[in-house]
Amino acid sequence: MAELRGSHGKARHHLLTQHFGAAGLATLKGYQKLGGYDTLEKALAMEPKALVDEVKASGLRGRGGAGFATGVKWGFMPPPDGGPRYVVVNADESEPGTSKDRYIIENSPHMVLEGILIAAFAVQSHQAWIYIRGEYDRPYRMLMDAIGELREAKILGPKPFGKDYPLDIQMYRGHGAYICGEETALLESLEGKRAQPRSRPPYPAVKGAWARPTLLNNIETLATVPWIIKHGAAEYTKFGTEKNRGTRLLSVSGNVRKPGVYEIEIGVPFTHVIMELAGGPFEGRQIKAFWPGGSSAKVLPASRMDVTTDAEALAAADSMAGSGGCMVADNSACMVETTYRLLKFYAYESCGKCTPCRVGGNWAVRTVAKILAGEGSRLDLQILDKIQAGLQDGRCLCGLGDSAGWVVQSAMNHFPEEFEEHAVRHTCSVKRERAAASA
Amino acid sequence: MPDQTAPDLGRRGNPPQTAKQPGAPGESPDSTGITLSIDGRTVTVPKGTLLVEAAKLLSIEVPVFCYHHKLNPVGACRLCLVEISPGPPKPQTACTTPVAEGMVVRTNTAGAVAARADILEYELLNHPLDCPVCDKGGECPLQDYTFRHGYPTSRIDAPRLHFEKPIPLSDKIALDRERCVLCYRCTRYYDEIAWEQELTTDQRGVQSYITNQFDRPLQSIFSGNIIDLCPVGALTSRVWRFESRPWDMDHTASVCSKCAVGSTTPRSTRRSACAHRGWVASTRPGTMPWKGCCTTCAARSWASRCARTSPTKRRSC
Ligand SMILES: Cc1cc2nc3c(=O)[nH]c(=O)nc-3n(C[C@H](O)[C@H](O)[C@H](O)COP(=O)(O)O)c2cc1C
Ligand code: SF4
Ligand code: FES
Repeated sequence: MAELRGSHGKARHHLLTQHFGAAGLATLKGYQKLGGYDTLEKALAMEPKALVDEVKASGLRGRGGAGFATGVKWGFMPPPDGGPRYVVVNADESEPGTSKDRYIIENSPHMVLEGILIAAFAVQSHQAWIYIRGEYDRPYRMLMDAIGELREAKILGPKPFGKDYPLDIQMYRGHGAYICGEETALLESLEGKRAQPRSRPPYPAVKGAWARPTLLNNIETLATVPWIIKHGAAEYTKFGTEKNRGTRLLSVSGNVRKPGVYEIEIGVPFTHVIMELAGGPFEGRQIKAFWPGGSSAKVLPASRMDVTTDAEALAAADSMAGSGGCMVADNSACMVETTYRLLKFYAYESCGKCTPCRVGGNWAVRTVAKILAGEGSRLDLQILDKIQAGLQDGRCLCGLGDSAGWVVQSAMNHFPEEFEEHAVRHTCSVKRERAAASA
Repeated sequence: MPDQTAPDLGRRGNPPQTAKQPGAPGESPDSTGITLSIDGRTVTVPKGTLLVEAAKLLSIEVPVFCYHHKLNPVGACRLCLVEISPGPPKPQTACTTPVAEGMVVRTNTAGAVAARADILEYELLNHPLDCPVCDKGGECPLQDYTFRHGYPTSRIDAPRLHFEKPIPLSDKIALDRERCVLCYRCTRYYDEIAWEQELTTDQRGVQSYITNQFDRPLQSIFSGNIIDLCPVGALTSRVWRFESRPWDMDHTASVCSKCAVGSTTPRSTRRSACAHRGWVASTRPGTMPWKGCCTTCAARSWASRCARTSPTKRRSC
């Protein structure tokens, strides 16, 4: 398998990717040589509450998509009542344009496991589950091997580091649906049911896996935890912006010279990410648009590349930081076609539980297909606009429906003339330019 | 529609009312009562009551498909959207939201009205609109809600999606997947009340459909109930199909004589003649006695099962 391109810990802000590329990092020995699991030992000697407070103080926010404050989420777990409680790790990474979790697991599986174990102790859980995307074969095997090593070293077991606190991690492979990444659908799937989101509240912290209190976090979120516990929250808050601390991994893909996974300090502008880290556009092309946070984030035109990578700035630009998948399109991309492809994804991945997403997504696909086929009219644009509005703002049960709406809304908002041209004049200037260039 | 086995059929234009819901006006107010306002009118209901039920007490119709008072709320159809303050500035599902003290609920804001109309439009997008030959026509919540809450004109010009139909689920029940609104009442009935594993959902997205587990015909003696539960004409009785229109029928409260329980059951007649096969048959095809057990016999075991669940459920059994 080809190595993923990306950060390999050279800069000051490479916290997660610090040791990436070091020989033997994926093995327990190699990881421990670099100080691995020392932090877990330290954490096990601390008060669980102190760990939660430390993460709260670090200002770490979830990297799975919603960007919820991690420490606060940990604090939502009710006090132990003697029954089982779980930590479930979301490694379902199916968002188009996002590949950071895979990058982390393939480089340093033990860093992930250490984070998971610290989190489990912090929320007083003894059992963690990693729900991994079914297609992630190599990451799955690497994590399995790593868990095996931990069991052998008795770090997983009844007495990790001599402390009377049994810990275990189990793996569960997903079955290839995007919706399995949505937290409640993931829990349903983990329980062996059809992966369909649950109505919230109750939130997983109250009633999660097997109706027990459950902490659900993303791989990257938990992989950051060992660093924070090791160096302290104060050190972590030196990175990032005031409301959005730390560093994060951006997966840059699309029409750029050097696609890859780059660790950035939160708050740097996208010009830096796209033009410098990812090498900018190919010869003779210009960047046209980019999706700053995976396909679910609203698209932004190239003129907005000055926007910074923190959640607040992106929200102000009417998009979101999402899962950090930065997809770039250059001037060879027709925005109606791109919208069509993304929409098809959302309609295909709709779980079918709630009406708007099930029917509306499919209707939107059919409408855009009609426009693309040159059979559209201005009325179809109006219908499309109504459909996208009908998918947003709490109409759907989970975020997938909203995302489908955003795909259309943002593309129509920033590139109205392209939609107009397809629907009314039945031509595509991008296609014409492409043909002229290749002639 | 609420209790479909009740002899009083919610007539068109007559929003269904359930007089004996907990906390109904006139009953002595519960000491833990919660007072809230819906469309400017206040009501006091017991803690834990869902907004749909509270609205019912004020005769305010919040349309529902997936909600049924005997099943756990799932919030799947999204038809019951209302605006709630304090709360996020977007509509919420009334069927999953319990009441809270001082809550202000509005069912008639522009946002809520549009949300419900949009959902109905979505439901109709692939609906075959074969109402003239549909057994449910005339007593169909989808028809009624469309008149009361839907858009007056249609914007739909997309070709409809098609499924093979009708599919026999058993020798008594037929499924028309094109009419299905995927409210999951039937599968949830099986999961939560019948406690049997015979009905499930297959595929996903717009291709989702209800189907027999492992392609085996339904065996359960409770299976007839799903015909009653279906809010549209997707599940119909193969014995009763195309026999009569709802407005041709008269209903009388009666007692089933098939077993020693003596359950109450509506007796339905058409032009003074007992409808179909001569006796306790009803327009409510599911209440037809087969396999020696009418659905009200099933209701008896509902009651004992519900006794172990919530008090609201027990009362409505
Ligand atoms: C449709 C949908 C798909 C999602 N897919 C993923 C995913 O693949 N990986 C992930 O970590 N979070 C995903 N999420 C976000 C999760 O629901 C959840 O917010 C996240 O895992 C919480 O972890 P965090 O707090 O560490 O970010 C998805 C959300 C939605 C609505
Ligand atoms: S929004 Fe889509 S994916 Fe989410 S619950 Fe509804 S149908 Fe399923
Ligand atoms: S009735 Fe509330 S979502 Fe279906």
